[in-house]
Amino acid sequence: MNTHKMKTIFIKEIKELKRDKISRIMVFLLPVVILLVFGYGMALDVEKIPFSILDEDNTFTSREISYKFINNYRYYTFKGYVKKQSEGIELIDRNRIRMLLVIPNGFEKDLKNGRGSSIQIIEDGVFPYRASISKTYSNIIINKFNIEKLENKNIIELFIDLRIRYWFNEEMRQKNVTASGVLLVVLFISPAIFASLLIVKEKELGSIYNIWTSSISKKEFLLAKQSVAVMISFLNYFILFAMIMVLFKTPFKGSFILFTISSFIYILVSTSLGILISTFVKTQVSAVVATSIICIIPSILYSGYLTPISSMTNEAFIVAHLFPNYYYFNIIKMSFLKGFNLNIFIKNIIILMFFYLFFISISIARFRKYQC
Amino acid sequence: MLVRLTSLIIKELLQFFRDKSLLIFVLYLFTGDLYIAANGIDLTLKNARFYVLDESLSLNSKELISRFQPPTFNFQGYLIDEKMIEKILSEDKAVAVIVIPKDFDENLKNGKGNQIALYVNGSETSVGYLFAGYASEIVTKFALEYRKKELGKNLPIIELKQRVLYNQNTDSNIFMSITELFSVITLLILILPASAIIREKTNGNLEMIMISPISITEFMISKIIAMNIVIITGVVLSSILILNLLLKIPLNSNFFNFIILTILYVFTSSGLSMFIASLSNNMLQVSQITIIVLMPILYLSGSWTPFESMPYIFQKLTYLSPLKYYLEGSFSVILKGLGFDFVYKYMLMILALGIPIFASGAYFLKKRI
Repeated sequence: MNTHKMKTIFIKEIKELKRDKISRIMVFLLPVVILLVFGYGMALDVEKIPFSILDEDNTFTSREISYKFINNYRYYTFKGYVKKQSEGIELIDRNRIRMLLVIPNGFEKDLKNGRGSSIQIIEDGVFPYRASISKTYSNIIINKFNIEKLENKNIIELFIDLRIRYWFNEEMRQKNVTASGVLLVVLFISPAIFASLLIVKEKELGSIYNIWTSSISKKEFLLAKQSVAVMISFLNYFILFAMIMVLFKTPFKGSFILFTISSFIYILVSTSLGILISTFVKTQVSAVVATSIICIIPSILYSGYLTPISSMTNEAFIVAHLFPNYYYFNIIKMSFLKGFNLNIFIKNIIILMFFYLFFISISIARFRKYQC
Repeated sequence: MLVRLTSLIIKELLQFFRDKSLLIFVLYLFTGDLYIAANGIDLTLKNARFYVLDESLSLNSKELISRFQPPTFNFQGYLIDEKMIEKILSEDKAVAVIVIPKDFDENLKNGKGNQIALYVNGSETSVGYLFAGYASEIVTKFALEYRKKELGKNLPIIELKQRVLYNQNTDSNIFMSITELFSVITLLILILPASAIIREKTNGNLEMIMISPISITEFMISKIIAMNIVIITGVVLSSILILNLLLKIPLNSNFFNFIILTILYVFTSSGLSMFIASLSNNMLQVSQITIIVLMPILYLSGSWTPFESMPYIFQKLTYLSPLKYYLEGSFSVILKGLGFDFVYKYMLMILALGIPIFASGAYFLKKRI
């Protein structure tokens, strides 16, 4: 390996980036924009669901239960009464409300007679996650109402109390996970796109002929290109880390130095994946499209970022272990939420290193210094 | 002029089909990617694994645990030691652990207070809260029914009946694959025309166009039309393969409205693509600006974050997102089965946004070339 030749390539790329007015800003701005959109945008909390009430009973108890929903300002926003069920369903169709609460005729009478009574909620099922969260909220309101009534009438004095504790994330702030998890997505996608473009650019413009005729070896050429992408992405890592801590105020329980080392290795993995993709494609647009598809799916779907790995079916569970993202996300969760554990850390780092060696050696084997 | 335009469009399509790797990935986006989205992401509570530490080992505690049923829950087994809870949760082996105390059975029979502990894995964002909600529902219902059986008469309680319109089982797969289709369309319509224009620029073909009888407008329009054809073909393909054959959504006359919505949306977004092309000089810039434009469009569409939970300013900004109208209109057509009289206003809104976006995009690009 001739470091002098590698340095030349490295300097050439840095100069090119410096001259490119838009890109020199964009390489740093892009990860920040993704962080902001994901950090603020991936809010899974469902709040202020707009709803209407159809009160056919119109008694004291029916109004009492209506007010339980109306006064729940955090989760529900009251949009008025309707007179007919069809009217309420039309409001759902027009996307004005997401839920209709129906209190049937004879509701209070049934309750007073000591029989059970029932009310109905009609949910808009277009957004399934929101509908199931909304169902949960309604259930909690009704259950609380029931228990209060029964305790007042001394039918049940003491009840089963479910004490819920959220481990690793006491207040269940979803931002703690969604914001820190952005590192998982950003440090995978943007280094990979950047690295693959660095090589495909030369292929598409034809300047790759200069490389073919020069004395630089395949290994030197690819590693020099990779080091440019790694350097830029590593700077991005520090910017993103600082922003996550300051803007989203996530806790950090790990060791900063070890976390930085693991992020560096993760960037090595993603840039080498970008280089591997560049050996398959000929044009820059296909490099961008291919890299983003190949990177987005494992980093969002199979990492455990949005859906728990433990809930996956068997095939998906195995697939998740075949991507590097799962291992880096383990380190992220450990460092930000769960607290540090050296054994698990080393295990995950070694697997990530293996991914890096695997990707880069296939890339070097596949890269050709001649026309196929 | 028409002849020139057609031959330019044909040239553009030929060039697209010759780039084999791009073609494969675009095909993949319209089929395989949607399939994975339909089966991969499910934010609702499904197959949630949990363990139980049952110190009472009574019939009643077993009865309570048996109420956590699949497909929502997945019971993994009993723990014998409290130390194992931490190990299981920190290794993400389960979403939650339920701990039932020793005197559960006696307290229940004597009518004394009873405490069950539920430890939820807080690093699982989407399902953690749902697990807790469902669990408290199950426990309350268990307690009420136990008391009812003991007293031997009906309790004056309110029962909540639930009906979910358009999606009785709150299945995520149709929703996920359609939103994924929208992201795919948006990504491609932003990047393909812009990259087709920039390619001519970086390869130096633009000078040849300048001296040929082709006007700049024809040059631009042909690229846009060619890429619109590619994308709309892709949408039709995925509608037949994924939506119809896999997800069993009927393709009836309403479906025609969906295609009209798609054409309008693609037309609007190609204005943004021309804008991207006018800003960039090379593909690196195209890819970066595309992602920067794409992200807010996806966010403001309301497919990730519900409209109601967005900050106030963002709520107002969503009215400017063409994807929002496209998304709501298409959901009305595909999921709710509503007809033209419901969706025509979405078409008008997309058009109202589309004309200025397209005109200004074309203006900026023309100025740059």
